[in-house]
Amino acid sequence: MKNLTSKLFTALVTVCLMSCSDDDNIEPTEGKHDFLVVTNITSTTNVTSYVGTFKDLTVGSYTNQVAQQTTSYPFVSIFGDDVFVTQNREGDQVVKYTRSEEGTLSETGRITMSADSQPMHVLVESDSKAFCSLYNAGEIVIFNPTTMTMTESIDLTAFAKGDGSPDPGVMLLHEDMLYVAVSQTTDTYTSSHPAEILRIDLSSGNSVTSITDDRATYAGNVDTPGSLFVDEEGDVYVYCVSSYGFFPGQKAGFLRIKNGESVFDETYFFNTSDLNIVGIEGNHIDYLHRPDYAGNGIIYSTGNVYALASNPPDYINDRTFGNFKVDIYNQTIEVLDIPFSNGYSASSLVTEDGVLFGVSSTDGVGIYEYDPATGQGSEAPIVTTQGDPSTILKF
Amino acid sequence: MNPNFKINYTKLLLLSVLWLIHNNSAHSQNGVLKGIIKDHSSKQPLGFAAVSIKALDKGAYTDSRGSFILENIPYGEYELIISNVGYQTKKLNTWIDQPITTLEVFLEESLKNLEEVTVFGESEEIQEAREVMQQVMPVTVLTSKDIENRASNLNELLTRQAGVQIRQSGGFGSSATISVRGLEGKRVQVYIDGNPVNTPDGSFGINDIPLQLIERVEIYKGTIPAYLGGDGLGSAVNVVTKHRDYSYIDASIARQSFNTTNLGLILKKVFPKQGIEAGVGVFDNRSDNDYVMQSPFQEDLEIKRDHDKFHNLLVGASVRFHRLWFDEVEVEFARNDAAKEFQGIQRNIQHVESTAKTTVFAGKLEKTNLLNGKLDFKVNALRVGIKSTFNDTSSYAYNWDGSKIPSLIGRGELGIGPNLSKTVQNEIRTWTNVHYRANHFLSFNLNYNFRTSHFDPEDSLGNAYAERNIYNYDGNLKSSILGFTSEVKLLEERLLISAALKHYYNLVTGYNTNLYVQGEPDRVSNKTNKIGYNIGLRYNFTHSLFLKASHEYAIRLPLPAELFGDGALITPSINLNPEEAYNYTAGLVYDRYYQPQRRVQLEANVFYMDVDHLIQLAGAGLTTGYINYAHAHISGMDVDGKIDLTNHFFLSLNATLQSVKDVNKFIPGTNHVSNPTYDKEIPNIPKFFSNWNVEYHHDDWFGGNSNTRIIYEGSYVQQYNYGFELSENDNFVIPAALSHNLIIEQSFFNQKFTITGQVQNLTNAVVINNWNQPLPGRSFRIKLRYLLLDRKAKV
Repeated sequence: MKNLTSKLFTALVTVCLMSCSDDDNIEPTEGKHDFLVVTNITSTTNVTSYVGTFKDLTVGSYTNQVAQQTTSYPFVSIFGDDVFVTQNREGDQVVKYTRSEEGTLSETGRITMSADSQPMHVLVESDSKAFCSLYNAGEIVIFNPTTMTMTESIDLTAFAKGDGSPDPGVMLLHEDMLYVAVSQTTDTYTSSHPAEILRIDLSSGNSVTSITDDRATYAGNVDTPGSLFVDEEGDVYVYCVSSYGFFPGQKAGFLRIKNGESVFDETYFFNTSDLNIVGIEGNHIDYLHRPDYAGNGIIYSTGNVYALASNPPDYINDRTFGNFKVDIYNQTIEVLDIPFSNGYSASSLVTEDGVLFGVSSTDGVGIYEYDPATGQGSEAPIVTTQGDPSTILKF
Repeated sequence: MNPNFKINYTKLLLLSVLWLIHNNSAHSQNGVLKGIIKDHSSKQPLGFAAVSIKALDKGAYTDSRGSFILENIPYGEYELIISNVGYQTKKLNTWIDQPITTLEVFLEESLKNLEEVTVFGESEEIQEAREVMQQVMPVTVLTSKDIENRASNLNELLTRQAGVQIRQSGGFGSSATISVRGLEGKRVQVYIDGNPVNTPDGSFGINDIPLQLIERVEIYKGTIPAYLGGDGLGSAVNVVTKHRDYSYIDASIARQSFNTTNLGLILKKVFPKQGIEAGVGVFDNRSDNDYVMQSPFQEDLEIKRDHDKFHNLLVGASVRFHRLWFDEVEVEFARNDAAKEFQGIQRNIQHVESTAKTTVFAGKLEKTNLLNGKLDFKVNALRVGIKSTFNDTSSYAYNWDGSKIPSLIGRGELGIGPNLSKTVQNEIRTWTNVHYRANHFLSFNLNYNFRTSHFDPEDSLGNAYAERNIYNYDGNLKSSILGFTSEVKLLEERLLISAALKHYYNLVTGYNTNLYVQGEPDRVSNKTNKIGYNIGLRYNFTHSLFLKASHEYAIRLPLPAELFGDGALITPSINLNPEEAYNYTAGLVYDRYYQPQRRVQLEANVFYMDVDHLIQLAGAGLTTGYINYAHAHISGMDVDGKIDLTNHFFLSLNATLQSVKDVNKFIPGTNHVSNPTYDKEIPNIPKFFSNWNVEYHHDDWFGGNSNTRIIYEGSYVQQYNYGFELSENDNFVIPAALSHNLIIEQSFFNQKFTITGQVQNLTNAVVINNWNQPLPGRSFRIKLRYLLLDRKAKV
């Protein structure tokens, strides 16, 4: 029903726009917006970013005119009308914005975490409880997302390997258990330790247990909650980037914790590094980027095809990020017919209407759409964005 | 021999021989020089003509009857300079060998009516500065009068000039970049005596040059003379070091807030008979920089900086020979040892530090007036060795309360792991300049700079930690810049036209240390062959009022660090092209003494620059690299006024208005994908700023030959954005800053003793000119200087 309503509304808006206006750039200014986008302004060395919203996919274009300015490449989570933004490496704060009826975001609170703690992922459980992983501090802070006050913290530094923090990144809440992917990196970009998940039992005094698997390293894409998810079977999957291809011999891929188990499933490892993928240069990807689970074992994700990169890299003109459909059950990856992007965008979002990809291509910068039903992708952005869209979310 | 000088030259010759024999006794007596200055044609006396003896820094103006008098002149031979507006300047040697010497001098009217007037009190340095300002290039000149007694540093003086901003990251010794007309950092070349300053780690910057050594600073805006043999996008700062050709002692000590001390000592001895000058200098600067800052990251956290110490010791010695075939032969040695700690802002850093030891051997040959006075040439050669270290090996990271935790990167507090690096750079530079005057109206200048440099880093610890060779890759640089300039004077010298061609050759060799490639990296190189040019004119409407206009096609060559990255997360970019700029600038200058000791200087400039292929960091993932990206149009204007309101009050005001816009219509690499920042102001560049000062000076308040100066300085920088202005909610702004300084300078006995007190940022205003980099607030300084000059013995 919700799906139908949404489609009807979209159709009505489309007809209205087509019949009532010849200006494609008009941004809706009334009513809550459905989509959130993070755009990055990369025209100078000092990159700044914007977090803003747009009504729906018929708007045609999006500008940052009423968006909120933030540090470069922030991490963003949504809970209800609230948007939680962490500042990547450039700040210690978690900033809360709230979506309004006027189609804008306004700041409604902020918490300052400990100095250089690098707040990463905010996971909201309820109006009164949220978790924030502190990558550098090796800590999970529990706070009240309504009052934006800290309540307690969970120290994970005892699990650190080779340095002072296990580097907690993305989190997943499943059956009163908080799963925390820890990347265990010591040089910020590679890890030589087995892939590791910390399981925090919220029902028994936040006790922490570690599970590891040496078939991969570097559990979880640090900025992608979708890299740690649970399927319809209740199995927990984590994507391991395995040092992003920098460490020879390490294999990126999916590990699984079967429902009810407390160890990695020894029978399952979807090695994406060695998979032969038809239709792309070199026939393989280095790692998946921004995976988002669509259900039934299907993930949509971007992925870095390093064979397309220049030597040395050209960060503007190398369009190495392709768009892929990943079947984690059958362990296949299929390239989608959507233009490749450079690293400034390369984001994905699964919605009930289709799959959206943030792309900076030679054809346009903005949000492209893929229809799983027809297998067709848009050739140009359905919503152009002012800046490179590195995150797309739906309220 | 000029018949206008009614002096008995036979007697002078005889006296000169006697003087040479009885040199010492002659110096013990003083005489008086008096005379009358008249117009050669009308024989009428000339009022307000300036008569000066440079060697004694003495001078006087003629009264309305054309008479002047100079007293207390030690017996000896002196060069006398007589000048007046609209007349040709006369220089003549005269002997003071009796109690009263009288002269009658006739000045010939200048056909152009444009001759410079020499003004009492206007030193040779100021006259040279005025000559620099007469070039076709837009240039601001700071003279030693503006600089040497100040307790502040050079950066604080530079940032008060029209069109100039200094972007500082911290206190004394911190990194700072110069911005001229919106272009900053590597795009503005800095020179010392025409040699580009470009140490690999920035260990020696313009601010490290002791103020006592500076004769003047030339700030070129938009067009650079071809004899400055470096690259850059059309703006440059050239520091000209002082050269006194007599014996002197110059000692100073300055104490400043934040436990900052500056010591300087120069000893120079001249041996006139042998024609030799020998000098040594020692300069020691140190600071704790322990000022309190508000954390930009943590609310309500005040931090007293405790790991920001800086120390440098500069020692130099030189010997000049004047009696060889060359007019001047100089050998010079300099050594600069610097050590610096790194202050954390976001995290408490406690152990990171760097050192640099720079050794310079230099030689200079100079010969003038060859080919019947038509040809001059200079040759400079430098051998520079730099040994620098970077030490970051802490096993701990520190919180602001002083507690420590294991390092977040295994070992080290910065970057991707520990570093214990040693880098050796050896460099040879030569600079050859030939100047040929075909006749009074036409001259040519050929300038050639050659530089070869080898860069050899070593960091076994960093490599061991990374489990691969990241850092130990050497590099070479060979560059030559050839400049040819011709100048012609037309229309009875009212019009000066200058045109220059500049050829740039640059070959940089290094390794493609690309993390994405396994195995040993390839040795690669980047070569540039480019030709730049400039053309300009100066037209004098009157002696005091002139127009300048110039155009330059300028080039900034990619730096080795941009081409080869850092071996780790900044990947190489070996195909970088040079940055380019097409600059246009025009200005009106009015410069006149309207009364003795009262001068008015007004200048207004407009400028337009089309800069392209600007190099910037790119990449959104773990790694980044430099690319040619931005294309910008820079336009603006600046005005600068200085006036002696009375014999005691001096006022100055300058203001700069500039706009730097992104003009890339499309994202690079595409021809139809719109650039989201097209036609937007490029961020992090102030659009408007202004400086002003009021000076009151008075002689003899505290006895004869004392001088008092009280100076108030103010400056204002309008608020500007750190990011592009795209949203009505933009909050990344660098706030407007209004700051005030007060300086009191008191000298005694003809500047033999000078004491200067200074309060910088009187109101303790928050001044920030780099994002998230808090600067010191109010600071106090006091400086004592002893200057003993012996002008009698000159080479």
